[in-house]
Amino acid sequence: MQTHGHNQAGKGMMQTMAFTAEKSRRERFGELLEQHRKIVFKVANTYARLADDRADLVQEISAQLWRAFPGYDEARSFSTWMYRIALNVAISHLRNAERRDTHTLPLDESAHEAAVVVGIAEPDERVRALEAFMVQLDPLNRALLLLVLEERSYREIAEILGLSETNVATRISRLKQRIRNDTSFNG
Amino acid sequence: MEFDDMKAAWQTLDRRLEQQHALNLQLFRDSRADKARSELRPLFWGQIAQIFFGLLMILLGVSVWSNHRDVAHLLISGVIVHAYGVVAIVLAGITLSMIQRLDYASPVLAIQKQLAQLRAFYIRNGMIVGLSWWLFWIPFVASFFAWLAGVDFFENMQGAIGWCIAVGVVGLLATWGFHHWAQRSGRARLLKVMDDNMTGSSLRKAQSILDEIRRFEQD
Repeated sequence: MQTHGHNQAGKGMMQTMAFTAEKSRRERFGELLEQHRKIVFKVANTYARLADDRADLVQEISAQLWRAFPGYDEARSFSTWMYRIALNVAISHLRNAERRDTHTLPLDESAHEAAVVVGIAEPDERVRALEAFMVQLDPLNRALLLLVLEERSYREIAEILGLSETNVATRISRLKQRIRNDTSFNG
Repeated sequence: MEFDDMKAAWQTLDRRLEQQHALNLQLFRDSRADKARSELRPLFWGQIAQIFFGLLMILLGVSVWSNHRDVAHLLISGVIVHAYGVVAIVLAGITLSMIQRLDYASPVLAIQKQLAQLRAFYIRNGMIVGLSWWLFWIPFVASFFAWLAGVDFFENMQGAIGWCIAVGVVGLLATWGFHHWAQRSGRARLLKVMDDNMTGSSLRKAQSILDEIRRFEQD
C-alpha cells in the first residue's frame, strides 16, 4: 500500500516537473519569438503578397519554429536559426502556391506590375518597385536579397543559406549589378 | 537607381512593420501549434497507408504461392503479388525516412534540395506503385480469386489472358508516350492534369527545382 502511495506521489511529481519544464520552454520561446518577430513578418512579406496568404505564412513559420524549438542550441545565434526555418518554410510555401496556381494570376498582380514601370518619385512607389524586383527573383535569390537588405554579415548569410562566404560575396555583387540594370528601378 | 535606394525602400517597409500586430502568442500557450497541420502530414499518412497496403499484398501473395506450389501460373502470380507488396513497402519506407530526415533548421539550400529530392522520389514511387497496375491487376486478380474461392482465374480466362497482357502493355506504353508527348510539345495544362492524376504532383517541377538549386550553387 505504502509503495503504491510512493509510486503515485513520484508519478505526480514527475508530471509536475514535466509541466513546469514545458511551461518554461513555452515562455522562453515566446520571449525569443517576440524579440525577433520582425524576421517572421519580413520573410512572410517577401514571399507572400496577398494579406491572407501572408497571415497563413506567418502562422506556418511560427508553428514550424515551435516544432523545431526543442532542437535549438542556445549557444548558437537565434536569429540565424530563425532565418533558416522561416526561409525554408516560406520557399516551400511559395513553391506549393506556384503549384496550386500554375495558371492563375492574382487579380491585383497586373495592376501592381503596371504601377512600377513608371518613374519613381514617392517612397511608396519605391517600395512597390522593390517588391516588383523581388517578385521576379527566384526564391533563393530572393532569400539572398532579403538577408543583404537586413545587413546580415557574409558569414551569417553563408550559414543561413549553406553557401561558402566567397560564393555569397560573388552572388551579392551580381545581385547589385542586376539591381543597377533593372528598368523598373531606373525608370 | 542603386542598391542604396533599394535599402531605403526596405527601411520604409521596416517602419511599416512596426505598426503591424504582434504575433499571436496565444497559439503557443494553448498548444495549438503542436497540432498545426504540417504540409508533409498527408504525405506521411499516405505512405503509412501504402505500407499497410503492401502488407496485405504480401499476405495475399504468400497465401497463394504457399498453397498452390503445384500450379505454376498461380505460384508465379503469388510471387509477383508478394514482390509487389515488398516493393510498395520499401518505397514507402524510403519516402518516410526522407520525411523524417528533414530538419527545417538546416541551411536553406540543403533543405530545399532534400525537399525537391523527396518530391521527385515520391512521384517515382507513385508511378511505380500506380502504373504497374496496367499489368499487375492480372496476377492480383488471379491471386485474389485463388485465395477467396480456390478458383483458377487463368483457366477460366484461357485465351483472353494474352489479350489482357497485350492491352496492359499497350496501355502502359500509351501512358508513357502520351506523357512524353505532352512534355515535349509544351502542353503544360495537359501535362499538369496528367501528372496530377498519375502521381498527385509533377516530377518535371521537382526536377526543375533541383536544377534551380544546382544553378544557384554553381553559378
